Amino acid sequence: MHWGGERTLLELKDLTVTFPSKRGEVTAVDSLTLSIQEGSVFGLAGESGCGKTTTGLALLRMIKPPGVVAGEIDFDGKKIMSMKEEELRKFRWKEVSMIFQGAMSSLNPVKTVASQIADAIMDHSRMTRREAFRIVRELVGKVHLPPDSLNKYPHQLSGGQKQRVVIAMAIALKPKLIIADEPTTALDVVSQDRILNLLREVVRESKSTVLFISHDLSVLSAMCDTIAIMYLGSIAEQGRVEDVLRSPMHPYTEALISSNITLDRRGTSVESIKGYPPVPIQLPRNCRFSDRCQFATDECRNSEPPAVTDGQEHVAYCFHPRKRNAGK
Amino acid sequence: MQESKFITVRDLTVRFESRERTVNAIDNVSISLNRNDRIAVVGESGAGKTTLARCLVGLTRPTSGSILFNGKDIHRGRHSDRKLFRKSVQVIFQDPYDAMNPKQNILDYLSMPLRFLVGNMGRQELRNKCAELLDSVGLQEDLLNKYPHQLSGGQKQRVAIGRALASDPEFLIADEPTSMLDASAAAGILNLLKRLADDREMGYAIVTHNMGVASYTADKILVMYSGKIVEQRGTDALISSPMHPYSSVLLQHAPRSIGVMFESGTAKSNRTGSEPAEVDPWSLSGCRYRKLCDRAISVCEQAFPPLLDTGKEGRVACYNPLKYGQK
Amino acid sequence: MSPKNLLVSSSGEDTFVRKLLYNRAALAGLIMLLVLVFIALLGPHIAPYRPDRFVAQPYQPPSASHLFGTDGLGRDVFSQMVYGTSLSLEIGFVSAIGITLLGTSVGIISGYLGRYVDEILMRVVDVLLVIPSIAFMIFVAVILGPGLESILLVIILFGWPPMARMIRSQTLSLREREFVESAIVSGTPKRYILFRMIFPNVINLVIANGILAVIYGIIAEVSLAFLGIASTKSYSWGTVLYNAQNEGAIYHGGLLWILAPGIFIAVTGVAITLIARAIGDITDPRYNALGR
Ligand SMILES: Nc1ncnc2c1ncn2[C@@H]1O[C@H](COP(=O)(O)OP(=O)(O)OP(=O)(O)O)[C@@H](O)[C@H]1O
Ligand SMILES: Nc1ncnc2c1ncn2[C@@H]1O[C@H](COP(=O)(O)OP(=O)(O)OP(=O)(O)O)[C@@H](O)[C@H]1O
Ligand SMILES: [Mg+2]
Ligand SMILES: [Mg+2]
Repeated sequence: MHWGGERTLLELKDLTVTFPSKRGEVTAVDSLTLSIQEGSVFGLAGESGCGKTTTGLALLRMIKPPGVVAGEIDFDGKKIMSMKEEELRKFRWKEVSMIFQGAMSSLNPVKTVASQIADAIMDHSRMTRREAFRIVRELVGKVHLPPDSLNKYPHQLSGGQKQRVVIAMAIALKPKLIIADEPTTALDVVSQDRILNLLREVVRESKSTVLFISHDLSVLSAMCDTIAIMYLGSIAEQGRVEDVLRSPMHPYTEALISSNITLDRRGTSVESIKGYPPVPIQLPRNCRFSDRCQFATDECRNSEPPAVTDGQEHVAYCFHPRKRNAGK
Repeated sequence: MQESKFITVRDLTVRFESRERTVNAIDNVSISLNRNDRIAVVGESGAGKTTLARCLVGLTRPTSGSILFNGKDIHRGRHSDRKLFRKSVQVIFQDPYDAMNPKQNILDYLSMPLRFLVGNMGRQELRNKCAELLDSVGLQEDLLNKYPHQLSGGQKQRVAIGRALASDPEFLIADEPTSMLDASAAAGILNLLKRLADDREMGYAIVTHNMGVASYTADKILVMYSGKIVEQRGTDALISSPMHPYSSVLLQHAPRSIGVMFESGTAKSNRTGSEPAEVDPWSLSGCRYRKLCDRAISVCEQAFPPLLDTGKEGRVACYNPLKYGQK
Repeated sequence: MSPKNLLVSSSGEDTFVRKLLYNRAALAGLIMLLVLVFIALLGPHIAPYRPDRFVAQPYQPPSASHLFGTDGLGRDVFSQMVYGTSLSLEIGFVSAIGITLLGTSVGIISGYLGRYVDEILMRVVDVLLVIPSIAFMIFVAVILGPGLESILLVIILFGWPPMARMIRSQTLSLREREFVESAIVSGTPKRYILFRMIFPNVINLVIANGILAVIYGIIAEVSLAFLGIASTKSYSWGTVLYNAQNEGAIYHGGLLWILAPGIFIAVTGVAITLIARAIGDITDPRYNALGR
């Protein structure tokens, strides 16, 4: 999958997103730092509510007040955080587009597929209706929708087909980065695989970079070069996808992997991670996972964990890393 | 077919007519369930799984055919019989985010079946019973005064199970109970269902598109395609040697464990091969799967294959099934 | 947070009224409405003259002492308007209550019970909606005789169908929601589902549209008056217009006389729309998307 040189396309430094609430400030993303290489597929994983979508929205500067975003976002040499509304309009969709979580179920029910995609194109560029429709016809072929679906309405399409429409919108203006937020979660396994194939094909062809958000580790393992495991708004572990998923260092990653129910788990007992992630309001500065972790000690509960590395690029934040240097 | 079976579905058809097309979401299906069965209904989107589940709890009325509970039609007969059916067969739905009234708190939500199916309880008794229910699904009593938006998806799905348990049912029908949840929450829910079935001697039917979930939870698997049952066999037999070509496709798409995926190099290869065109199965005569099937032969165009016994309580509907051991 | 989370209204947060007061548009609307109510209640103390006294020459143009001029019998139009405010608002509110009650109950019952009940009720709605209502209103009002009651009755009779439609479609979509279906499976009686589950989820829609119905009622009364159907016993904005029409205000240069009811209606309309829209905003789930 990886085609590009070793150029950093996107860099986040201490990205923090907070929302005020009655009980205090909700820190949805907490000093997140990461960088994405041009031409790679970067996976963002973690349980529901850990801040994956919020990170994606923050990248596009789409967090609405009263949400507050702080930190730095560098994209292709540009400082996104200091962009004005006018610049942002040119930046969104043309440079970075997003496949929104659940977008396929919020397509406009009274518009045909073709005009829906065309609208998305015209909203974000200076194209005329005619030019837009020409591109739409191209796109429909690219995402393998049958040509007659151009004039159909969303309710006449299957779930997989609707997701293809959404993908067509996202790739319409050939963005450098595509944020794909749970693009396969609502689909059945057969359509899931087809959509993954399509995404892979699209990425290969247009040489885009992808930020792939999902809680499904088997989907991520099939798609990504690099993966970051998020917990409560910050990164618990990060590295090349094989390294992280085959020899996880963080107990959280390990627990996530072993809670995956797969065909080969028949007759065994799959353990879920005990408890639920707390709502991130005024959490103490310690290991976020400590109250659910079976290896936690006082150290974990009272101070912030150090970064441990294993070979290149593989980092985990943990006092008691698992399987360090295993398999190397 | 024995009358005394727990639930018997006889020649069930559910037809949806719209301007564009007519769909038999359930097409002449007959099954029978025992009280202690743990079955999974699998199939891709549109196969009719939800429609079948809704029929089994009496939410969708059959176009033709009947559903018998202890030998009695669930849509006819006396009020007391129907009430007994409601108490005995309960359901949880796919979308935990939609399963609760946003304006009611958890106590109200849990007490509904207690008030209307079990009956006659004082306020305090009701509260105690609800706390008990929460406890049985692994949640704390302090949730009782919370509202749905204050709960996570996994917690909501647990509350929904707790409510289904209120009337002490003998059988639980779960329509995609985990498809909206992350892996850890999903594992929690499925383990809970298995444990409850053990503790309460309760049977269940899990509707899912994921063979992994089916094999983890069920003793028997029922594969559906376009409103028809195409294969019904014991789980071990089916996952080791599927007979219907469609079952084997579903198995290929089932998630494997991470290790296996990297080992076999399947992680990033195209698991499906070339892109099959999407077809509307209902527009086909004969076997509705034949356009996508790599084993189709000329008879397949003539009529939908009958569901025939394979021995050992298995049934398969295919003119050219895979033999044992062949995949 | 998934998109579904955003749909959830918050039950532990600010009360409805507090949110309304925090909303600037709503506050402006409320103040305007309060002023009108004030005028209605204290009319006799505010109006410079009695509305039925001959206080000047007929057909006087607007002046400092007669803001809107005088009518064909030399009565002060401004005073008539001030006196009329009470009745006009009353007609607006009473018809809004009637429309809301009728529209909501028909809508919910029709949407929830479905089948033939729905079929019959919606036929009635269709018929009422296609009938040229003003013409028919006149017809009915003539049969009933020109009294306040018959005007109210006519306004309500033709006012509820759109409301019923809207509530019905909302109910239909609620009925398909999983929480309603799981209530059915829990043996919950229809009564409980209707009043405890469906109704609380349409109440905001009911309030917003109920408020809009006030302005509908006021306008309907004035339109009827314009067409010659008015209760002449006491003053309302409609009677002022009726008189202006009858006494040929246009030919005597009484432009403000004719416009006066329109101005008052416009003010009321702005106030009510501001409030209704603010309620819409407040009850829009996205407004509440704070935390879970
Ligand atoms: N607009 C908002 N206002 C308040 N809190 C918010 C808002 N958006 C998100 N949050 C909170 O931020 C946290 C992260 O949410 P986010 O949607 O990013 O999670 P996610 O990882 O995408 O989860 P999922 O897998 O459910 O999509 C959650 O605790 C959520 O409740
Ligand atoms: N109320 C309805 N009106 C019209 N058609 C319907 C209705 N409900 C279901 N169908 C159709 O019946 C077929 C089976 O639908 P069903 O929901 O039972 O499938 P499913 O197997 O549960 O799929 P999914 O995995 O998408 O939930 C589909 O083709 C669907 O379009
Ligand atoms: Mg998300
Ligand atoms: Mg379904």
